[in-house]
Amino acid sequence: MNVLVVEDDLEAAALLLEALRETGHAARAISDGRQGLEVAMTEPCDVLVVDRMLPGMDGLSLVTALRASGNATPVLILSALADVDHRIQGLRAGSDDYLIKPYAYTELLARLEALVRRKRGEFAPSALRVADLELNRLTRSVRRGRRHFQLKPREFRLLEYLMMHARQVVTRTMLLEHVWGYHFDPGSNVVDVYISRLRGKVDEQGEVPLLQTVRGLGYRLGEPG
Amino acid sequence: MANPVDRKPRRRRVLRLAILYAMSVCAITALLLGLLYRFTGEQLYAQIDAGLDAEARALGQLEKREGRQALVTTVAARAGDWGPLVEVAGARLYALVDPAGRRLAGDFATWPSTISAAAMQPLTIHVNRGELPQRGTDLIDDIRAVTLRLPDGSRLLVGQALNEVKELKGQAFLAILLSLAVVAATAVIGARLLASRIQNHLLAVSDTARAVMDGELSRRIQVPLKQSDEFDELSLIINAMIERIEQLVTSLRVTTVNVAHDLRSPVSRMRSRLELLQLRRPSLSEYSAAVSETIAETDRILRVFQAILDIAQIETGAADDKEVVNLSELCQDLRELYAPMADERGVELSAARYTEVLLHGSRELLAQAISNLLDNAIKYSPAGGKVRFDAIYNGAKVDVVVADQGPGIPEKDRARVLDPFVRLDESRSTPGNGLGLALVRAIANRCGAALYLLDNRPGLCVVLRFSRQRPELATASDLNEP
Repeated sequence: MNVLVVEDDLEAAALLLEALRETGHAARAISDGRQGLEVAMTEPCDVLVVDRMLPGMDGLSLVTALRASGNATPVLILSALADVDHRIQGLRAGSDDYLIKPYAYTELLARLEALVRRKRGEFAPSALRVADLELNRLTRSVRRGRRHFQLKPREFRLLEYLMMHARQVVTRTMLLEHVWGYHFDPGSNVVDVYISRLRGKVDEQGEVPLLQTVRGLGYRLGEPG
Repeated sequence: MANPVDRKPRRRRVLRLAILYAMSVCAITALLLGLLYRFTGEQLYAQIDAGLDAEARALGQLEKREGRQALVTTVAARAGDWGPLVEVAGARLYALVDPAGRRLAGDFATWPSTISAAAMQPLTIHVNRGELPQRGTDLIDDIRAVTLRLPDGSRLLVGQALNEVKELKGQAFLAILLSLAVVAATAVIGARLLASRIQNHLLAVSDTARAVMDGELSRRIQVPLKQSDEFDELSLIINAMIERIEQLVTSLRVTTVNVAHDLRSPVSRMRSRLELLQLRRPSLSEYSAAVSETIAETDRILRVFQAILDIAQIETGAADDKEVVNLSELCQDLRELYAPMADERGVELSAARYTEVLLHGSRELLAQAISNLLDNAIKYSPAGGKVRFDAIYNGAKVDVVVADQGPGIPEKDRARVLDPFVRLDESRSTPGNGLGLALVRAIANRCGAALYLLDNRPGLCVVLRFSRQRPELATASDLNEP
């Protein structure tokens, strides 16, 4: 993954670059808005991380200009402004995701990978497959090998999301946002328990455990290892 | 900064207005009474004139029919026999003179000098000394008279003394003056009483406000039990406003103190842990463990800050959420999310009873509040306990009810548990930061809902009540609006 970071806080940018490189991604950082826009439009990158408050040109204007030029590179906005209105503003400007500062690096990484994946899979297939787990979006049915099982609508959506991001780490916050539409932290382990419930249906005795919990990070659907 | 308000206002507006009103009443009364006086006077004269006119004409006819002598005799007969006890009051007076002005009959010695021409118009004429020679007539000053010119040039006068009328008018005038005096006095006294009553209310309000400004946030304006008028309503509203200010200030004060206090512990812990590392020569795994723990600790702290920020944002944000929220759908959703967690702890969630109603508000905030309540209820429930979660529509109100059978909250603590960072002793061992209910309260305020903490016997019952008074109950047609 090739990441372009537009962030004026030098120390934060440096930390982020280091973290991205540690995890095997290519990254560079620009500290000015206008310059960031130029680089984004002229040099190839897979995803942009743009801070909302920037000198030269603020983050939202950057994204608006980028989209106006026809550039569809996925953008994740970093901001300290957390309320609904600001978030909606950010998304309306054309960004694809919105992360509140301070953030966990693992959260950021998971989201960036999800964005890149989403961008690459342009046409969402009607059937999703991971190992012998198959989910059909049209018929709303799920099966594991020959075993058909029923899922409640929300459970279906959850599994669908996990399968769309198969083999990637998906954080609790991402799930709450995309599957439930909630932007708050419920505090306790309610999502964990909900996932266990789903796991009970997906991974039965003797089957390969596909739905894994990654300690401290989130969940992952895929073959173990 | 000096208190901008003087104790005694220089311009007493209320009193001025009241006195102005009183004076207007007096003026109008005076005007009306004056008109009445005038009218009555005119009526009196009209009556007298009619009588005089009739008599004069009758006498004229008499002469036509029976001749001069008959007239003279009649006039002489009618002219007054002025004894000492004769009533002067409404006495008729006559004068009959020849063309040269010599007396033919009547009370008058000579034709009254104050009459210039003979006309049928009634006149008020002043009688001079000597014109009425008889005793008893000297009290007569003015008369009302009709004069008639006879065919041969002689003149006839029929008049009536105005003494009676004058006396009446005098009495009436006195009566009017007296009445006006009474009206004026009553009006002024009334005005002062009214003004002072209003001013007392105003002073009560401004005194309370001044006390609140000085920091006495628990001051309220006294309101009688039976609220009746606009003053009471104003007082109630101002009291509610002070209550809200007190709430916000307390919340802020408590938050500031508690942030400092509550966050000192984890920060100290972190410091100790790291300092310990510095003192020893720890292994790589020990470093790793310490780093993980420190990250976890900072996450905890960040969550607390986030909650505080959320509360602050919610409390100070504009309450103009235009989103239409399907409450039943939201409750179903949340119930489904928490069902596994309840199940795992052996807690039974009641059968879903969610009324179909739409609300204006923020779905996000409502979800956060209800989720908070559900979380608490399940967390504090004993194994095998029941948690009730309903949304009921009764009349004009929608109640979202979350009730558990846990330790509950003692009545004395129910008010303060809504303040940030308050944790009751029973719950100190359960994970949490004491901000949950404060957040719920902030959201309730923002969405125009009332929050009630009740005894579930046993346990706690929390009710979020949305009522029609606040314009949050949308109707199905709102969903179709563009």
